[in-house]
Amino acid sequence: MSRVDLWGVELSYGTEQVLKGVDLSVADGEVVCVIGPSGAGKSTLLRLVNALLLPDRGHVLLDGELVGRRARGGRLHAMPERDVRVQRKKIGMVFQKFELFPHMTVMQNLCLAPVIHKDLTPAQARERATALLARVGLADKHDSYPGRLSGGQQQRVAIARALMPDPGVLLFDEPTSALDPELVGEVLSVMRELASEGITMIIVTHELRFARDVADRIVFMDGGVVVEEGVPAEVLDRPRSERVRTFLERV
Amino acid sequence: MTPPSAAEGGDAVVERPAAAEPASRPELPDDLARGFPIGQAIGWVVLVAFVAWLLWLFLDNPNLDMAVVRHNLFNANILKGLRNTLMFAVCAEIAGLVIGVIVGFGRLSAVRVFRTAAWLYVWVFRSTPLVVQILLWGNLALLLPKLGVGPWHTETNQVMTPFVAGVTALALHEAAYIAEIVRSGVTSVPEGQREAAAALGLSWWVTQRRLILPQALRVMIPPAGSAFVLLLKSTSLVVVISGGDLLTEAQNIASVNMHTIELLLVATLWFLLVTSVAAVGQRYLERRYDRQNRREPVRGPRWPLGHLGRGTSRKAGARA
Repeated sequence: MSRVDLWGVELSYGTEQVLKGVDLSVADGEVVCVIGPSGAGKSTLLRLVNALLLPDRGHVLLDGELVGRRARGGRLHAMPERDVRVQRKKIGMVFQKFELFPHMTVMQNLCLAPVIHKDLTPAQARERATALLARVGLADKHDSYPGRLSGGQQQRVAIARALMPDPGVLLFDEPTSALDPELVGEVLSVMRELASEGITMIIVTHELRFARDVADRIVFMDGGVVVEEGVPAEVLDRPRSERVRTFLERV
Repeated sequence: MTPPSAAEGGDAVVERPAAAEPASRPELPDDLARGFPIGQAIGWVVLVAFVAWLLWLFLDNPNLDMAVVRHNLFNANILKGLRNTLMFAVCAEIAGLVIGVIVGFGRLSAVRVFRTAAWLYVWVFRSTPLVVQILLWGNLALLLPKLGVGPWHTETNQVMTPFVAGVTALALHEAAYIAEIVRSGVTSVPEGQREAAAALGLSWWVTQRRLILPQALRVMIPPAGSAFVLLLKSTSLVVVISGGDLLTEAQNIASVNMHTIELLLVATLWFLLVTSVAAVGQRYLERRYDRQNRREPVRGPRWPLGHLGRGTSRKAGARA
């Protein structure tokens, strides 16, 4: 059964059409890496899954349920913000530039959302945060402010923050693109571990070696459409399309 | 050895290995020389002399009677005027902050009619001289003799006392500037922070209050502090509607005893004191909101009213 479905999704920013009809299904526990040149619509695709953006046409579903919209009277209506927020708890997101809240400590970053949602008591939240920070190897950084951490540490905190509500799906938007080369490894190893634990993951990345190791499936996007998809060995080693081949030669 | 290098100084090349030997290290001093900053010293002398000359100009001037200044510095009417000036400034600042935050967010609203209304507000109140606005509010009765709707109305002059008119004018003017400060502060927070908050399922209200405003405040405090100091000084403009402020009282006394300069000096001294206190307050606020840039998490009160500040900011930690 699929966790995430995109059916015929189209989206424009102003006059520029970024997605031109994308179909994609991600099964429960599957790890999908989305690759492709910049401007292909990869980040946009990711933002549709947790309703940071809504499609102009087509449908986005999470566990078989429309995301950010509701069908009523033969039309699609915007879902009330309150219900969208409930849906978002099932999806964690990790950003290229971490987006930790700089005026809060690591612990406060992790505990803010679950406590405000009253999903956890402050004590429970702290306990869960402690466990997650230990898991990403940052047990000693509870009281640090993000600005005092390295990029790799910040991104691991961001991953821990995304895991706080125990989401079934994790979205990664180029999680290592803003990191110094020597810090990429520590973030990828945390992600590798998560992938092995059966969390559904959609990862936009330029790390092709990582994608080959971790992905169950690779999706190649270009010009707002999915050009090719398949298991890593297929797409990366024997691409059928010319566009994939030229992209792989360039990187 | 190649001929060219030999010709250009073969000796030095030959001797280079010897220079690397530790034994050849010459005797070097350990103490750092401390130069006398002669330029700075001259600068200080000039500065002190200039300030002393200015003071002397005042103090040793036959046209200025320092006894009158001393006598009036704590005059009951002057103190009453000072109290009124502070009331003008504080009331206008509070009202100005409330209106300014609303207008500032209006400028950033996704709804066009709000954006236009907020822009219109800022345009009007920032584009006309404050003294004109004070005169307009002070003379409102000329335009609208009665205020109110239907049976509930009253004489304008009973409501629009000089104090109310002054506070209204100052507050509406201040709000226009606060709105621009709020707008620039909120815009300074990267868009990614809003995305991250949304991805965590946080509401607009929580996002603004817990994430955007605390970060925007760091940017907003310096210009807001300047705006407040400016407001404190601008209260003296209510003298045009006899607002009962410090300057009005000083001029009232001067019109009786004819010591104009002495009483202006009294007002000046009080303004210097009040604005200095405001500047110190601004410094504390700036440090208070710069915590994230400190190396260690800060514990304990960091300024005289530390427990007040901690109450709100620690909430996140206490609740977390």
